[in-house]
Amino acid sequence: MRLVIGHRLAFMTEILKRGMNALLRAPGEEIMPHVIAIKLGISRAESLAIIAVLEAEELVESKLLIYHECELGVPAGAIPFGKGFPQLPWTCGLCERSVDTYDELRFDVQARTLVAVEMV
Amino acid sequence: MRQMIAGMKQLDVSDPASDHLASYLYTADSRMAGLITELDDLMAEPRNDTMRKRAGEIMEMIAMLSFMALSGTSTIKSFQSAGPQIDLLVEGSDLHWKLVRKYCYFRKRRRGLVVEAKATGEKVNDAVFARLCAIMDHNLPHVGLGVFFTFNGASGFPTPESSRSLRTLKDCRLRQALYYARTRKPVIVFDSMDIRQLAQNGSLPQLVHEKVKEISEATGWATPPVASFCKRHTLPKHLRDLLI
Repeated sequence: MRLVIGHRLAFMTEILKRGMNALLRAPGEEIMPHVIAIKLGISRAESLAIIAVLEAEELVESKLLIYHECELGVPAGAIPFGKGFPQLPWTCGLCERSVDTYDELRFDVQARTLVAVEMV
Repeated sequence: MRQMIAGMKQLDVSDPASDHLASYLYTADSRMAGLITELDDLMAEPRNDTMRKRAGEIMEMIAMLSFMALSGTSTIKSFQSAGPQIDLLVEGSDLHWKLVRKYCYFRKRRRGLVVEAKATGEKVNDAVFARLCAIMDHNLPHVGLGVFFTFNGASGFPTPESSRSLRTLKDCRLRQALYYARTRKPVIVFDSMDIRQLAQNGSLPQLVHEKVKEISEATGWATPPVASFCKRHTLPKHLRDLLI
């Protein structure tokens, strides 16, 4: 699927588009902001903006990964991306404790391509 | 959170992608759900003076909690000025507020917004709507947005129950359009359906964004629930069929 970027993401140069296309070349590819940031040499904020555009075009299915301080290395849950932070109290999927403050939580975004995407 | 906001800065507000990141500008206060239930209960039955007063207070509490939870808000005031009573005057100053302002279509150099809470059983009428417009013109020239918190909406606005789009401009809806055309300052109306959604994270900026857009678009439909913004189809059948 071709995605015409035009002026939507002003920082996207031709080189960045090619780099991004390599990450999106097949359905089922999983991308995360820090991976995009490292591979393309851009900021996490710019990576998030790319994911938001892909999500708005329904080219990826993305979710907000929720990490709890009981085990910060493994996501304890996930909700769809773009719906705000999880409602509290939130029950941790790992320790099953009810959490009523965001201070105990960390977040990340993960997107999975639904089709092969070519940014132009 | 900071990353989401910084990501939003990369996008134009008219880009649908900014809706996804704007949802992180609002994390509802945990007290909101209880207040909304209490307001619903109070408005459901015939009320005496004490109940009317309590409903008014709760409406103001809901308005204040919702704007306190909006990212970038720095000051909230409520006061009896030398002139009119100001229910809530909300201002912000940092980058988050700048994005809120941009996403909600405030004009540049308009820093704040003013809220008028009306917990009555009737719709807000044109005189009340005109009063807020006049306050924005004469007392608060630095505000860029007016917001009514109501239970039953305002006269002339489409209702969620209506099965057809409202194709006439009259009463408050007419004044809203004329005032926006003259000053570029939107005045929007939250009804009970909108207020019930304020307990949901992400809802407030998206509701304001949709309501301000509606002033110009004038689709004649009530604001849909936030969860179905993307799935809303105002298309006629022959075009809607193409989506299947």
